[in-house]
Amino acid sequence: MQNETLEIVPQLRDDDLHTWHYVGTGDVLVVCFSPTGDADPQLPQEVSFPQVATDNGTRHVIFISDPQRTWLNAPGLREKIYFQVQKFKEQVKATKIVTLGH
Amino acid sequence: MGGFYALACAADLDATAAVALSPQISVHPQIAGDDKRWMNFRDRITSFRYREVGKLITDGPQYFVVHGEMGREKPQRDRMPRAKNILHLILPEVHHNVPARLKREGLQHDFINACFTGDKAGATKLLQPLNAYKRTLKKQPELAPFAAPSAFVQTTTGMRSIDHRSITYFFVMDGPAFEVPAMLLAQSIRDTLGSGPKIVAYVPHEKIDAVPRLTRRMLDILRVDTRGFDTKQVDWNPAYPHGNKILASKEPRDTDLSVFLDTDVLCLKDPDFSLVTANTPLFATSEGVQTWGSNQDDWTAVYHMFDLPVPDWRVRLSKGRARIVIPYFNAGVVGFVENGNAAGQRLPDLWFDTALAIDANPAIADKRPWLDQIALPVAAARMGGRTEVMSNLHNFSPYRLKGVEDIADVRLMH
Repeated sequence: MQNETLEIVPQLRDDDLHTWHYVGTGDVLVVCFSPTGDADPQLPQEVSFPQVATDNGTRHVIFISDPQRTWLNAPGLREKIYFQVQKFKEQVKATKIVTLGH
Repeated sequence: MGGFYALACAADLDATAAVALSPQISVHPQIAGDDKRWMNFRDRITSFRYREVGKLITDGPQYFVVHGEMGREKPQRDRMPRAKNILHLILPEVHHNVPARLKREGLQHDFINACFTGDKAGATKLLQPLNAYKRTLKKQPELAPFAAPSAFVQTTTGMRSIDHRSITYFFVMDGPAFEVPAMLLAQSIRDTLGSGPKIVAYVPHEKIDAVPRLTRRMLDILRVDTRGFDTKQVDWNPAYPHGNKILASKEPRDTDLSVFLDTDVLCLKDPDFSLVTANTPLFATSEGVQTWGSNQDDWTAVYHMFDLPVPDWRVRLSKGRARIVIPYFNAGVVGFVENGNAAGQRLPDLWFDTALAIDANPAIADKRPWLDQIALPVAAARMGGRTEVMSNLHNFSPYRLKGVEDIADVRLMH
């Protein structure tokens, strides 16, 4: 469910990885992974748990989806996720990371 | 799938907490083949880097996992690993829709917040109104993999599991010409993998005192352990410098895994050997072209020396016409389990023994300089178990590169 009141900004749109950023406040960064989603692989995945992950707009969140639904088996995907998260972590100066997903 | 990722990536990201609602533990057919959901996606996965999430769970983060109690979740729920830092809660009368149920009850936000702060007691208490309970083996007994290969089950009996972080990368530094490449290799490992892996530079005993002070100092800074090894234990005739890698491999090490690297290798990305198990005697990459053994009779003769049949599986060469051939590996990147097989045999010892026997057999022709490569798959066959054939990215040669290939994913450049 996309949230209309939160400014969740699409970032990476690669074939193997999509990300969105939400810049909140504080030192916690939530890494929120999208569920498998619609049975039609042509339909894009959406961010999940926007209100909870951002804590109603206060926490930093990077939303991540695997559009090919590979369960981390795409070559280089694990490293790519790590890099994207570290980059955003540095940007928002987060000191603590938690992960969330369904 | 999001729950799988929350578990799988938590340790990589140095997360303090991971919250996984109805996560898959595996989508591999041999592990969770009895779970028929999401097959339109799962069927498209042709190569598995990660068969199950348990391999990626460490003792770092606190894991919070919630599964529904209903039967459809069983193939995933009952294969969830158990550990002190995993709080695994079960929700009655729920299948895969755990988040929706929590939201409907007005508990989703508070529960996830409690998990994020690492509050196990608080998170558990919050779900009490839904009669949630901690998983017990009495109610949800551990479910075995759906279809474990019988050979795996038989040959791993009694073997301990592998800590993939316990790894030594080693190489041979035989003379001044190899010192700068050795330093570059060590630097690339440290840059890519940090301080975790052990690195050993092996120098022939008779040359170790000649290693310049500056080289030693550089290796010390890179936390490379410089050790001697015995080249006098064999008198290769004709001389065979390639044999040094076999002799260095034979040296004892105290990690679970060891990986020999030619000195002209660079580590560009984490090689990730998480597919290696205690039952993997050898992990290596197929050779580029068939430099020896294009005639199957050559291999038949070699395997028969050890009363073994020619293997019934094949590898694809990485260059030229990418022919499919009898197992034949490049020996520039050779990995093995230090603990050996169920009989206590180490691959390097059998590699050495196999190479000596082949070298002494006049019926086997044209063995120089490929003796190490001829002996390697035969030694693996003598070990038993399943050889892990790694992708070309684990031993990538720019030789014959056409300039259009994407090398962004290369892990070990050779």
